[in-house]
Order: sequence, then C-alpha cells, then structure tokens
Amino acid sequence: MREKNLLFCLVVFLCMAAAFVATLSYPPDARFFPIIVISLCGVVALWELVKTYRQKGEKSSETDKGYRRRFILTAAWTVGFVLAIGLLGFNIGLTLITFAYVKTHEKGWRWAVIMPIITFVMSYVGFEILLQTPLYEGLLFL
Amino acid sequence: MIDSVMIASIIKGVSALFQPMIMLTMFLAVIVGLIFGILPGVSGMTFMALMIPFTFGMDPFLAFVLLVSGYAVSSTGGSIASILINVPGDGPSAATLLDGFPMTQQGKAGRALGAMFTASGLGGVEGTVVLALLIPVVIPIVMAFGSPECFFLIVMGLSFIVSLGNEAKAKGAIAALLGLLVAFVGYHDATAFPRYTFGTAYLLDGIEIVPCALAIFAVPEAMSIMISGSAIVDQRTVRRSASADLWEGTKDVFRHWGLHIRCVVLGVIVGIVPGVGGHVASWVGYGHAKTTSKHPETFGHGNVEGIIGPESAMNGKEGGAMLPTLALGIPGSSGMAVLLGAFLIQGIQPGPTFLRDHLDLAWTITGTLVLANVLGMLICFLAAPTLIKVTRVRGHLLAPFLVSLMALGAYSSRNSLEDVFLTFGLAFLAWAMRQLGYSRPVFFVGYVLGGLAERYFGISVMAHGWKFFLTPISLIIIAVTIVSVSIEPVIKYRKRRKSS
Repeated sequence: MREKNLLFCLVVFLCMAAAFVATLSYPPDARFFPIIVISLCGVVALWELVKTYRQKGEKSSETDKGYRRRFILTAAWTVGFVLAIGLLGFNIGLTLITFAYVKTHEKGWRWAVIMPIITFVMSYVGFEILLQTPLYEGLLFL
Repeated sequence: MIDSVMIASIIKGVSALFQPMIMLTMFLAVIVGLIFGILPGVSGMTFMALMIPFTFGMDPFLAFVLLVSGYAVSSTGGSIASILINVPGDGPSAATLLDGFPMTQQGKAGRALGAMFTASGLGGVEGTVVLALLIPVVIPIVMAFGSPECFFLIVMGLSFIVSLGNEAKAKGAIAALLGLLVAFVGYHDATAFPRYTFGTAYLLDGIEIVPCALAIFAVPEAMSIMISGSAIVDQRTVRRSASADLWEGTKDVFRHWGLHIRCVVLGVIVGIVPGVGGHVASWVGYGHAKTTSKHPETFGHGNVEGIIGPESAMNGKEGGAMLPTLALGIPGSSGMAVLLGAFLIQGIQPGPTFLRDHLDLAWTITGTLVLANVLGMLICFLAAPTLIKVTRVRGHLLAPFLVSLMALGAYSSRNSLEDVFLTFGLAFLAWAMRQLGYSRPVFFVGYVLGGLAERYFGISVMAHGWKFFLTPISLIIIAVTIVSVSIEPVIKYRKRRKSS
C-alpha cells in the first residue's frame, strides 16, 4: 500500500507541476482560481509524499497478489465493455459483451441467454425507442 | 391577508386536481418520473424536456400537472438507484449514496429506502407548504440575493467538505482540490478562455455531472462487484421482512424530526436562490446532518441521518425553487428553467403578473407538488420489497447489467460517446482513490461546487469590486459558515479539556 500511495502522490504532484506551467499562460482572470488550487494541491501532495516515504512499508501477501490478478481481469473486462460499445455500438456491443461475460463467469446457458436479452431490451427498447436516445451504432457500422 | 379572490383561486386551483383526467395523468406521470429518476443520465429535467412537445395545445392545468408530477418525484427515483446499486440516478442523489449504499451492504436496504421515501416525500410536501406560506414574505429577500450572496452560499456548501472526510486531512484536501480542478475544465465563464481541454473540442463545455458522478461512485462499485463476484448484500446477512425494515426507516425520520425539518428549511432557502440548485441543497443537507449528529464518525458507514438530511433538503428545495420561477420569472433551478419554457409555450408569462392573473394555476401547481410527492411515496413503498431483491442477485449477473446501464447513462446525458470514454477513464482514478483512502464524496463536492463558486466570484468582483463581501446577507452567510465549520472542533476541544 505504501508504494501505491507514493506513486499516487508522485503522479498528482507531477500533474500539478505540469498544470501550473500550463496555467501560467492563461489570462489573469482565467488563471486566478486554478493557480490557487494547483499550488495548494501540489504542496499538499508533496507533503503527503514525504510523509508516506518516511512510513514503514509492508510486504505484499499472497492475498494481495490474488486480488491484483482479479483486478487486472476486471479492468480488462471493463475496457472490453467500452471497446465493444466503440466498435459494435450499444445495442449489439453491450449484448455480446454481456453474453461473453456471463458465459465466462456462470455455469450453464440459462443466464448467459437471459442477461444479454435484458441488456438488449434495456438499451434498445428503454433508451432507443422509449427515451428516443439516438444510440451510437458502432465504428464498424458507420 | 387571505381575501375572497385568494380563496376562490385556491378552491378552483385545488379542485382542478381531482378531475379524473388530471388524476390519471398525474398517476402515469409519477410512475414515468420515478423511472426517469432511477435511470442514470436521464433526470426530471429530461422528463420535462421530453414531455413539453406533448403539451402543445393541451389545457394548461393538465400540461402543468403532467410536467410537475413527473419532475417532483424524479429525485426520489434517483435516490432509489443510489441506495440499492450505488448508481446515482442524477447528480444531487450522489449525497444519498454515501450512507444509503453502506446500509444496503449491511442488509438494511429496506430501512434506508423507508427513511428515504419518507424524508423525500414529506420534504416535498413540507417544502411546498413552506413555499405557500412564504410567498408574501420571501420575494423581497430573494430580490436581495445577488452574486456575492450566491458565492458565499456556495462557499458554505464547500465548507461542509471539512465535515465530509473521515480520512487523513491531507488526503481529504488533495481529493477536494482535485475535484475543484476538474470543475475548471472547459471555457472560463468570464473570459471564454478554454482551460485544460488538451486541444479537444469535446472538453470545451467542461465535464458533465452525470458521467462524473457515475465515474466517481458507480463504476468503481461495479468493478468491486465484478472482482468479488458476490451479491451487493452478503448472502450470510440475516434477511428481514422488507415491510418491517421500511417501517423502521419511516420511524427513523420521526426519530430525527428536528433534523428533517431543519434540512427541509435549508432546502427551501437554497431552492429559492436562483441558480444554486439541487446539488448544493443535498450536500448542504448532508453536511448539516453530519455536523449536528451525535455520531458523526458513523457517517459514510451507514448512518440513517446521512439519508434523511440530503433527501429532506433535496425535495424540500423543489418547493423553494418554484417560488422565484412563478413569482419572479427567474428559474430557481435547471429543471425550473425548462418549466419556464413550458409556461412560455402555453402563452403564460411567469413573473409578478402571474400571481395576479393565474393564481388558480399557481395553486394547481402547488397542489400537484404535494399530491405527486404523496403518490410517489406510496408507489415507492409498494414497489420497494420487489426492488430490494436486486441486492441479492449474484455479482457476476448484476455487474454486466450495471456496467451497461452506466454506459447508457453516461452516453444519454448529451448523446456523446466521449462521455462514455471519460466515465470509464475517470473511474480508474476513482478506483485508485477508493483503494488508497482518498474521499470520493469530497472530490465530488469540490467538482460540483467549484465551477459555481468561480462563476459567482468573477461576477461579484466585476460588479462590486473586491469589497463585494460587505453586504448584510453575505456577512450573515459568512458568520453561519464560520460557526458551522468551527462547531465540531470547538466541541472536541471542550470534551478534551473536560476529560483532562
């Protein structure tokens, strides 16, 4: 956790430094509030960075490693959802990725069929027809 | 003074509500409004915007019953999703999930919903009653609210950030400042200078509230469900009867009656001030509940006061927001701005002459707010036992549905695919914050109020110079802010002194 905290504070500090430089080029009225906020955030992030650096670290356990693996898988599925929408659009993309997700994680076909149908009904009937939202059709179908 | 004209208009306005066609319209509008509230990305405002075309040529009474009924209950629908699945149906509902969702995880979804339905329903009714009583008194006060007063009202909302974070103060400060920074993305209001847009046209209008709320609160929780694969409520949690739980939640509101009333009044006040809106009302309500609670340390872990506060303020606000719209022709919130459009479509000009020429319609609208809230509350109570079952659904079945709903919600707020990308991108920052103990509510409050604060500050300085804070109302708000921020440390200091 210590390393992650250090990394987060460092990233925030570097982002604030970059934002500070970028903000200096803005007109005085437009940079007034941001400069205050960025400066404060940079200082607090640096303080937190030093404080965390001085703390003792803990070794990562096997449970941590298992969790990390599950997180990477989940992050990959989440990115998969977004990619499916981008490529195939909401109606088809969400239906297919829901099918893939449920089939991978659940035994049998019952839920693997029911859940994509529910998703399709929600997106097509709920949003596209009833709410009249012109849903994105996907890069492949444009 | 109630004269015969007033009595006649009250009778005409209220009796219109009991015509079969109007009652049927109200019933249907309440159901649709609740559904709109539950779905992320669409809100009561969307409901009104979609319904306005149907009101062309409609009887004005029927038209406003349709619009106001659905709008009045949509925030209740938004809070249902906040409590049950941690997905805020709309921006203001985000305050409710802080304690609502932890209660659901503890198997107390019924109690959380019961408290929410009651606080929200009664808040809407009481807010409207307060509105009716305040009409003659408040108009001069509203007229006295300029940009400096609005700025300090928002500063008051921001000051509650201090009370929101339970974590290390430095981490809370970083979260708040990051939220403020996100609020600065897009055109600067006063100079129209684009900031932090990375050269893209998409970011020129800033980051929308719905994608941001979904990214900060909802997506990380859906990811958490995906990682664990288990239901929202642990299967080992003792199951209680939903109706008993709902009743317990209702009793909670009466146990904290003082808090409920205070938050309704706060909501009405915030609602009356044009341009401040529901986001401020719900966070001010939450902050007030926490600062005045006997157990502030339990907030964020499932304290029912954390539901009663924002819900009372949020729905109480609608009554208040109606006042400047009807009496002055100035919309008290974004939803009221849409309603203002509906008035113009009907050929009615809201403003000082409205209360003279259409007093009966004003009473119909007031009565609609009351009846729709009561009807919404009843429908919610009846539907709650079924809705609660969603918390027992296996994680691997619920997660893809939630992620799909979030993607659709993020997209439909302005039909932009970039909003979907932004939501899931920002969600990874929110995930990191969640894991490392950086308060996400603090980040969100900073984001919601930061842009407004900057806008009103700029206008105040331009209009009044650097002495803009020297107005009586501003000084009162500053004093209230200082007192409410310092009350907790002072009490702690006194306790420490007593114990030593």
